[in-house]
Amino acid sequence: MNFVRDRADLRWLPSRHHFALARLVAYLILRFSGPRPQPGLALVVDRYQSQPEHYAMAIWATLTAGCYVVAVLNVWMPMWAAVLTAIIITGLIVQIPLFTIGALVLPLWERLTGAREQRHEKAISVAYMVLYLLASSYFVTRPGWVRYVAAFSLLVFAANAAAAVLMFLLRGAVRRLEQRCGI
Amino acid sequence: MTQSAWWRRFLVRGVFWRQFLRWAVLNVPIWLEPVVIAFWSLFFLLWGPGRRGVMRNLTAILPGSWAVTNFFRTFRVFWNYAWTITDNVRFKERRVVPDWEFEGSQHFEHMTGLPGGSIMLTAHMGSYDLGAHLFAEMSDRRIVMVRAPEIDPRTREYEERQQELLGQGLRIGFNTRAESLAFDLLEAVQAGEIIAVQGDRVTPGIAAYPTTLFGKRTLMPAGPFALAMAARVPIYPVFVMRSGRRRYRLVSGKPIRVERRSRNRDEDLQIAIDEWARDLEQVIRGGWFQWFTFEPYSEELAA
Repeated sequence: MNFVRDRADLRWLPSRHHFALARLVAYLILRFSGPRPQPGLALVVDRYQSQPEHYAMAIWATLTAGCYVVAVLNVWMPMWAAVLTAIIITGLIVQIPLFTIGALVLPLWERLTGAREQRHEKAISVAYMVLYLLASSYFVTRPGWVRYVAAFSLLVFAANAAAAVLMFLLRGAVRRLEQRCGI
Repeated sequence: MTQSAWWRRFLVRGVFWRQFLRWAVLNVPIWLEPVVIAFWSLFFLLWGPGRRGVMRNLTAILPGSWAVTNFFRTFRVFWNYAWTITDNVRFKERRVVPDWEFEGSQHFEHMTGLPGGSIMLTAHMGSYDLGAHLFAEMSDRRIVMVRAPEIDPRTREYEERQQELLGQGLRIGFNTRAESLAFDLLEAVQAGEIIAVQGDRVTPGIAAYPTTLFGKRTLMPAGPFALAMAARVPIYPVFVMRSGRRRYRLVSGKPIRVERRSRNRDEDLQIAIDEWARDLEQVIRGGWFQWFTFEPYSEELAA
């Protein structure tokens, strides 16, 4: 494992972030901020290390799923009941693809193909993104408030795609900045 | 397997949850972790004895606190516990290391720089497991970690298999056979090894001394202090506190020296144990949400 030490601003190293949009934001923050010494600090350079990125993603995923659950339930019950039910069941609904794909589909696929892989988090992550994209594409066509939620989600996907292009174009500058920071 | 045994794996300390955690570490997308951990932390609030134990401890740590706010504080304890055991399993499976910051690093450096052995005394706070593994990776000193075995036999078997993932720098000793372990530890510390042990809980059959913690009478294990006295090595209080997602703060305190000052060995040990209890109180007061003691720590609280 690579470590960088004694500087709090290096939390914003692009290499500590996963999604392109987060990497772009991190690059801009690090590029335009000065060093912040913090003796005794050791930061791991790992692409899944960023706390703000992963909490932001988790909050987006939960709130978006919750809104879609409310929109579906609102067809059969009043809004207040739909919101209350969604608060209770969204945490469980968000995990359904995880258990379906991770505990059933992928092991069955591996049994059929003879592949042996214990780790599936990347495949499951891609599956989630596809599900969110499909759900957002459906709800953006529906009337009412839910289409704004779906539009925001689609905007996030589009912004990430655009950020991926930008990060590709900036790859040299990012590499030089990270080298100056000691990695 | 008897019909009554199959469901035991699903009890709180059953092996199913260890296997489930390992599966989750290998399969849950990283960005989904906070949601999954929040859900299962809420689920485990259904574990009545654990929930009540934490709430009772909180009434002593935070005098005057309300039961309803302690209920939400208990969720915070469960949330932190879930994150720390997840980080621990992720380290064992994938060697993923968190961010670290050091407080009192001069004491830690003194401990690792000593020519002889020493004792690292910690508590059921933060990620004591991960801390020991990291010390073993960061230091060329060999560390012997003393811990109580798992209650459930299948869980114990599972954990012993998982310990094979450890490197050469870390050895585990179980405190079920106090007499034979004491000799092993004395030999280890005299050979220059560091003994890592948790000193905030007494398991059945282990010698203990009374002290007070937040004004309540409780028992502390005598072993680390007796060992320090016999081997003439210092005890370093070390706490590995979780300060965020994959971020830990290693807090190292000034050493406790257990010295024969009188003819009364018990009194000399009591001085050191009381000093440790004061250190522990200070740390728990600032980090109660990471003290993973799921039963009342004092009989006065259990009543």
